Amino acid sequence: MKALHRICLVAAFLTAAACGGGSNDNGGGGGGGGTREWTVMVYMAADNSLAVQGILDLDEMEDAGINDKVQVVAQAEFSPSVLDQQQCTAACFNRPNFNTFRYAITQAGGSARNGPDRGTVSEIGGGSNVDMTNPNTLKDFISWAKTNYPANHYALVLWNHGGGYTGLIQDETSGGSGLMTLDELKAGLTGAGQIDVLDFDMCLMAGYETLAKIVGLADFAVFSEEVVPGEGNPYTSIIDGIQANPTQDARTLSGMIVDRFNASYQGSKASTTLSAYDLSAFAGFESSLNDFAATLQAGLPGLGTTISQAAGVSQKYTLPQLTDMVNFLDSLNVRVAGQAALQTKIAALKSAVTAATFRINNAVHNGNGQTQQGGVDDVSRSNGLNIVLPSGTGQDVLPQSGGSSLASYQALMPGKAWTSFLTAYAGGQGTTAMTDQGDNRFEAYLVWDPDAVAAGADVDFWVLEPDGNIYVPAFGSVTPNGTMSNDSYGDQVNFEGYLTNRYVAKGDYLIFADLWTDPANFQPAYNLAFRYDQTANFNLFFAQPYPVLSLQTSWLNDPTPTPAEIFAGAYTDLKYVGTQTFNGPPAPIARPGATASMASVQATGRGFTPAQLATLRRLVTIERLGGDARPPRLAGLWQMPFSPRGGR
Amino acid sequence: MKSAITALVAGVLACHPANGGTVPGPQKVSVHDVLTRPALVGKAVEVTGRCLGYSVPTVAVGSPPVTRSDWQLEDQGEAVWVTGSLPEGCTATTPAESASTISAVVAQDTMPGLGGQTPVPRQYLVRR
Repeated sequence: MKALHRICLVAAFLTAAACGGGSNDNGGGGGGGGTREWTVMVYMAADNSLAVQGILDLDEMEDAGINDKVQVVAQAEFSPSVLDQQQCTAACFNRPNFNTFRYAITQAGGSARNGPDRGTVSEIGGGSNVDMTNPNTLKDFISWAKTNYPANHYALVLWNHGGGYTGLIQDETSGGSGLMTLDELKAGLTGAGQIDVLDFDMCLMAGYETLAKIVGLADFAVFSEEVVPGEGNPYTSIIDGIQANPTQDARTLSGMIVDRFNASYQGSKASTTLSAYDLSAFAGFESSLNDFAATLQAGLPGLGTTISQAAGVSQKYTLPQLTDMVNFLDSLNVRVAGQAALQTKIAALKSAVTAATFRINNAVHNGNGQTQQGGVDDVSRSNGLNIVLPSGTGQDVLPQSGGSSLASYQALMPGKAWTSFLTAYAGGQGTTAMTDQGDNRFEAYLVWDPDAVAAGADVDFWVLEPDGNIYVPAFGSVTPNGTMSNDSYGDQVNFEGYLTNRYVAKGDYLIFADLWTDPANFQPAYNLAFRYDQTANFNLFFAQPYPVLSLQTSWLNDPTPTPAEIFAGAYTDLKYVGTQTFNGPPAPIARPGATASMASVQATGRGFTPAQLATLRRLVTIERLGGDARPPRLAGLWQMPFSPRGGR
Repeated sequence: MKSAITALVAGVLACHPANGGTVPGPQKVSVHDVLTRPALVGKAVEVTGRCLGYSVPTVAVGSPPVTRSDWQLEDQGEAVWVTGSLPEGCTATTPAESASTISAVVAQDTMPGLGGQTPVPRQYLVRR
């Protein structure tokens, strides 16, 4: 087989025609580097669940037509078992068998049938099903494409599954369930020569780890932080874009892919992310990352909880260990006020990772479909590049073993400053005892008189979690142990609360009701609706007469409010509601007395401190004066003029 | 989420007894039910099965309906596509060792017909 392959390559070289084909309208391989501007090489590993999408994407490529300055070639294979599920043989994609084939689109007219029907097709090595996860298979394809369709520029599209740092490309028939590792990708590209643009048409590859492996092997990278829709790239549009301007450089082409991908999914049910980076600026970026990582590591273990919290509230993806880098930097920055050295590193890294010389383009789109938690997969805080950074809670951890474990990361990224930090940081995780609620998770909402909303009153749900921090929907949407509802004031509704994660830290969760504003002195009554099973009806915590909030005795007017005073009911605008305890299966929510509640707070070691109350006082005071203490998503809602209290 | 809570709290402070909510629970259905009962489209369901990850083996019919990382839930030799987070104990490339129950909403799309076949509607699950 290999001898035959070599003979074919030699013949191709001599005749400047493709081995097993390639004679075509534009002179086949004879276009030469001086005349053909771009060769687009699509490595389509569709011998897996994506077989049908692969066939349809080949059709999209054909629909773009041909151009003597641009050549599209592919190496493809499709899953026999997946097509059999649709009562299809290879004839469904215009082939006699399921062997791996190489294809050059050389005929105009657009796709007439599913599968390759607008060019020349050849099988590899006389006909076989090769392992697309083998780096040598990738290297051979690139070599074949460059030899037979030389051009001034090369774009390589890796088409298949992607799993971020856990790997990419699956081959059901020849490679089993495993993925090609990032190191194997590096091996496949090493020695393959110039790759101007490397486009990952797959999920989750827009990570630091990906860039670290392809730097020096490709000039520009295009990839997605989140999973991608099954349809992947809009090939007709992208190839049209290259054909329309074949002399465009790699930077322009990379940015164009992002724009056309994003445009194609407007109105789609799937959320999308896509970004493009210039690898010539990677070294500068990594230098900033190294400085940042070293500073973080020097701050451990004291900084560990803060990092975990910042990671937990940052933009996450379907593989939860992946964290948007810029969003994390922003989340961390607000949590380390006063730590000038660290904030300087944060600013430097943010500047490097968002520099126009590095990040060429970034586009995000929230779909209109429903996914987890019944809402859209919100990717709006994606800034183009993620990094492995688990929060350490729920499933957002590095598992003990397997391709996503810390050990695998250490093997993948040896000697990197981020690996050193991650080892110290993640090694310190796992000290929090967790409990598994299964699918029956504790869910609680503070609810109050609906008429209070019209009267301008607003109530805030506070929860003091076992880590000793207070979480409020108005100041964030995610806690280490749950997901908050929207802020009620922003939505003009009379409830807010949260749904805990499946895995929650053991300990006490103390819930409070805070009256933020009550301009008409409505004095809303409130209750707590809760349940332990998302299929069950809600229970109400208080029986009549329901407790009431008012601004009559405000904790904000006490210069030194204490937890003991709150538990004792000293304030009318901040009231303790109840405690949910997790030590194994959740104990029923209860309302222990002030002494027991104080003991619970003190058990956290750091919780509900005067400093925390001072911070909340500052934020709430800003808000009450019409300021802008809440996150940008709610900015604008806080521009309301201050309304003096009115009588009821 | 918002509509469910809105329904819950409408009048909740007036005279609601405990356990007085009106949110209906999801139906417990099988993988086979999801695949064969189009009437379930739009319904909240609970389905028990074994997560197979996204490809090996591929039992569910057609392409992943929403993203390339959709995964399969298998029961009694049949599998349905699920879009959303993987359950505990299952990765994209490593099937779960045991069955689990997930909450989801049944959705429907149309599988493209290849080689001249007629496009066929199918049901899949959107994990909540």
